[in-house]
Amino acid sequence: MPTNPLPFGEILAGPMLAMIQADTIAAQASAEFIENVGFVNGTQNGNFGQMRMITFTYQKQNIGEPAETITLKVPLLSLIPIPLLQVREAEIDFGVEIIDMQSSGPAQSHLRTASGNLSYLDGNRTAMDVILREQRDTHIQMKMKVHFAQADIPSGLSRLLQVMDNSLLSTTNTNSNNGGGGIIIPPPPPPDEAPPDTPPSN
Amino acid sequence: MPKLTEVLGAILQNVVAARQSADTYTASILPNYAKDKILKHFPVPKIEIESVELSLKFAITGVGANGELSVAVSSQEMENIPENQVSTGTFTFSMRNYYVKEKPTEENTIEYQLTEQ
Repeated sequence: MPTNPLPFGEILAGPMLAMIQADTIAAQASAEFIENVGFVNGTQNGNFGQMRMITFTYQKQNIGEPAETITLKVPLLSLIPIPLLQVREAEIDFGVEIIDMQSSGPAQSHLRTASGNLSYLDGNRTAMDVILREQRDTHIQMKMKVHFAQADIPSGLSRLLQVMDNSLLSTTNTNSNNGGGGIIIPPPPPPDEAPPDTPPSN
Repeated sequence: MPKLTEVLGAILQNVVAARQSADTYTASILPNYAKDKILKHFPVPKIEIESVELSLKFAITGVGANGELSVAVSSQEMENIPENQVSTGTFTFSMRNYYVKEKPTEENTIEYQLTEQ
């Protein structure tokens, strides 16, 4: 347990930053899993290349028709669970001993500097220096139970991500053997019927 | 001796400052998520403080003309105060999200409005 006084805000911010970092590391691990398992040669020059496919065949028979062999190619990623972990919420109990409180200015806060710019970040604050204590410590002056949770992404932020996403370029590749997903079946036999314009023969 | 309003205000200020640190860090990692081919489909981690339950020990040392309580809260201030004069206050705070919108004014300045959306 640290015995040097710490700014109270940093004690609160520490768990939040740790959770965000943990989420980021987990997301990167998931992305690496997708990249290594889902694609054949991994990333080369930022290009994922060919998707790893599982190919299997089975016999399909309709009534009155000969059996036909169906070949199925399915992306491996669609068959196995992708590990995706996220910190949903957290609750932290801690007790602190208040060492010092200092106000950095008058009690009234101001919103603008002399130049007219918003400066709430530079506004007056009261600094609190505290020491973390064990829950049963008699020196505890303040006990806190803080409940953290994942926040929804604000609409503006999601729009920003959309703008970045729209800057991507996509090209169409007409080569059907390029590892795309879906079902490959034998071409249907030519129709036995006469063309519609040909009059029926008697 | 600080006033009880200042003590509670300081606590709330620090809670807001902690949330600001977390939001700033989220903003700094946002480009990494947007540029990565796979991570851009992942939710960007954003942690918020939903609620804070606080139990604060303090000793009332005086009452101002306008009814504001002067209190002792630090360990040094509380050292010589008998146990039976120490009070415990329980407070519960919850955080609401507001967003900043710019609104130009006629004097060529910008006003900022807080909205819930």
